[in-house]
Amino acid sequence: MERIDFVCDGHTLSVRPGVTVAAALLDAGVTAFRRSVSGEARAPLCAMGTCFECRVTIDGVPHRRSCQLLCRPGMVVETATTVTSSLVTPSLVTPSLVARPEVGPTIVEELHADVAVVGAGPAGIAAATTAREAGASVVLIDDNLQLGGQIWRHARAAKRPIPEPVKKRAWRERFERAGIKTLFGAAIYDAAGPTRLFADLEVANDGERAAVIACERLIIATGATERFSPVPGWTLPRVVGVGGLQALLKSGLDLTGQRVVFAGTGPLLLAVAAALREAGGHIVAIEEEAPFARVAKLGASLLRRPAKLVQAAALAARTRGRVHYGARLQRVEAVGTSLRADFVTASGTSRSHVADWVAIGQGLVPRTRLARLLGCQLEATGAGPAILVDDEQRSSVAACFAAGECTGIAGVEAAIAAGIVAGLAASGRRAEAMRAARRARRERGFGRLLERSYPARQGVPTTADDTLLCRCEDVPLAALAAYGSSRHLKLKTRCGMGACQGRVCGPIVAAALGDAEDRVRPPLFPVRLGRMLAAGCEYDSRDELSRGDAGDHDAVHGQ
Amino acid sequence: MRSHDVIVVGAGIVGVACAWAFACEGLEVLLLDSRPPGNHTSAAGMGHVVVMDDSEAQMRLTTRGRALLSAFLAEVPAGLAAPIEYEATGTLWIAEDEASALAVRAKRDAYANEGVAAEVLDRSALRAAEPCLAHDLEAGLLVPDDFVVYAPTVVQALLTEARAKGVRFEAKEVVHVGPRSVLARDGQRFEADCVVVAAGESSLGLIEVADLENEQRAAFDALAMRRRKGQLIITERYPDFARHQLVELGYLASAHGHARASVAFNLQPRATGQVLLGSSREYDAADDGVDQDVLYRMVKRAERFVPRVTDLQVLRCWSGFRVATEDHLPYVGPLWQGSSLLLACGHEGLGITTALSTARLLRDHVLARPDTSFPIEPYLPTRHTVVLTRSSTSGDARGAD
Repeated sequence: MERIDFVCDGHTLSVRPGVTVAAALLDAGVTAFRRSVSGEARAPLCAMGTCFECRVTIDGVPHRRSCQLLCRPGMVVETATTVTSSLVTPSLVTPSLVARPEVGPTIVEELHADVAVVGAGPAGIAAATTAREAGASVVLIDDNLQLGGQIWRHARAAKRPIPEPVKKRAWRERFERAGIKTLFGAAIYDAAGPTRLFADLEVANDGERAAVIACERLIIATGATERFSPVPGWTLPRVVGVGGLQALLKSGLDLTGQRVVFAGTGPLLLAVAAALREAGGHIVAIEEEAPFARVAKLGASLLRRPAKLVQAAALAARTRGRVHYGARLQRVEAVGTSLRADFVTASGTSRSHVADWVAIGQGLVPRTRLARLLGCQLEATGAGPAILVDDEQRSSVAACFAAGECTGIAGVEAAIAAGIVAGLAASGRRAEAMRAARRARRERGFGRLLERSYPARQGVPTTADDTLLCRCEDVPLAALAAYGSSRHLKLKTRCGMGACQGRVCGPIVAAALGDAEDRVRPPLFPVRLGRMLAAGCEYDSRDELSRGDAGDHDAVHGQ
Repeated sequence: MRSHDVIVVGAGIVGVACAWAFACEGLEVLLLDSRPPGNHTSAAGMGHVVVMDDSEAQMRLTTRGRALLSAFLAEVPAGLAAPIEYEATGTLWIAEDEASALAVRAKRDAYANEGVAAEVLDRSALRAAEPCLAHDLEAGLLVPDDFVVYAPTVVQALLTEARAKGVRFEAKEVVHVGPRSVLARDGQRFEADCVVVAAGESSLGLIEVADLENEQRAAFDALAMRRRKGQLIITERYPDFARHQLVELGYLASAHGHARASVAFNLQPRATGQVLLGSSREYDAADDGVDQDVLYRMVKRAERFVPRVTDLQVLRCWSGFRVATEDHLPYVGPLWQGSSLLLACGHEGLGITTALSTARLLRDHVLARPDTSFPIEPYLPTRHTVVLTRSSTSGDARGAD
């Protein structure tokens, strides 16, 4: 079998093709991917590109997200593990640029399409396919390297084979037949309105590339990220998001024989626990915060939705005997090489579980940063602010549509239904879109039911004041009480100013302070200045020409 | 109703500094702002505390301001909610070519006249001092006592000190100011012996012109402030990338060009290890969005001085507005002669550097104990009116930033 050899901290690692750097490093026992600003060892939390905890130096380039990058033959990875051994002060652990190889010119490609779809999860696949089938030219953009988004994340690199979901397979085949241009490994970092997007292709692993996407209509299908609730120890390595654990499993992490405690709330807990068992892992416990009565009520309501009842029953069977209700995670502590997770019930009873991993999650948060950059109006939902759309999935900004979890958490079926509506509406099939919208409304109803059964936690988290709130800047929870607004907190404490730009702490702060997160500014993702320059050059030349002034943009391509 | 000695309108760094300075003299001070302190223009800039030699008056205001802030930071007590981010970077002014290398010496002499330490670096000394610079740069002028702060934390510290000395801060939106009274949006009226307006670009709009008599009205009409938009870029952490605040010597020329937007190289190593990159100036910008074209020109300019800057990853770009007067000096002092309505606004890009020297000028004015070595006249809002009534000799109204 083909293997890929690369170097990590002076050791050669050998992995299967398709394995991400994060999965490979975790498999190899690396715990300190990076050092936090106060010197803590950190390792992946979200494993889907949003938390920035998995950053390492690759081939001399610091601050690269190892969860997004595949292992390549001969690559040289440096983690904080080695760097700390040679340097004394924590402030110096960030690798310098000394080893940085000279980079060549950035190549900017320009893509044109009637419809651009951002996000290749269920909503994006359905939207792109439907729009293409309706005759529009379509480009589908995603920062992952394959089709599927998070819930349908590809699993080719998984240690034990994970079968492709039936529904995904059907849509994938239909998508492939439709003939749609794709741009994977592409992070949209800026936009000049909804019809001109700038993408960084660094993740695509193929050199210095950037892209400009020009389109007539945009469909945002950026999905959702996980919501977390800080407890002491949540920054320890091997405390990961529930969705993050699944992403790591699919990206090649070997969890055979590994013990995992699941803590938090939401249907993802059961689904990932079941996947863990299939992968040979051991479920120590599933601690669902919601009381049994509320979840049982959800179960009863499923009687009207047989397909979902079957799914739920299958999950229940695979996780039987391990599920506990009504207790909250209090803290996680490292005990030798294991983790101990302490829980307490509403009545005050405590219990603890010891495991290798603790998977935490408080449900999902709509991913709205691109929409906010474009000025789309949001609406409040139980899971946090979501993009406001009408029956045809139009946002408040002209030429900009949105579908799926970024418009409110409602599950795969609702995302597909909404994607179909958006695809039809964006390609001018309004009558069909209106018909499809009825189905989408029905599916969204189920989402609201889920929301009520597993409500997101509001208010200030009740835990020790020195528990970290902002993991990028190491701001403690105590700061929440000192400042009354998200913006004030950010300016005075740097909370949300770090690499993840508030993707992790933002929803926690907003729920606690009851205000909106601070405004989104470009870039949406950290981008190399040189690459921004290259895309800006394209932008600039267009701008200059429209003003009747050629400028000196020709000189720029070569630098 | 209880009357205060002083009401300060606006809790940016200038307003908070004034409130603190008055309170230190035992005056009873009320500070009003609808927004949390230091959240607007004070939070948008680079926090570069720098002596500027664009005019004698500017040199004096910045030199005094820098010394006062330095002294304040040396005495600031521990145990603040957030520690002050402070970095003794100095400023390294960089001459791109031989022509500007000559200007380096002239600048050094100007600084020496005011007692400001500055050292000329030749080509090799420049490279030794700052290895990230391009190798073909002619010369530099190192001003070692300039420094960098994170302004919101300074505002917080000043406010903490001011409160300890009895300043009362109220979250009130002020809609109207008069010589002895202030009206809030909610209808509440506050009275004081004098009122300081330190509300940045809103300052002049708060003054009710209908209340003014003829000469007062003429003084008011002579005032003019314009917004100059600026954009900044902040990167990930690269702790060893640069050691000094780096500014191109052509900064002032660039700042006063007549182009709609001008850019100048300005790079700052933050205490966090991040790199903050400026700068741009844009009159009459339509909005506060980030302009890609300007951003692009800023990076191109930076690349000329620091070639490897393009390797850095950008975390965030943002914009803010400086509020500038015609001659680039702030308005500090009574709105007209003898008025108890005082202005402290129009600091353009130098509010952090000159907040405490502004406060000192106002304090000495109100307490009627002028400092002959630091006269208020060049900064008086009435300076334009005065120039008009005499036959003007001050054609040298060069700008300042």
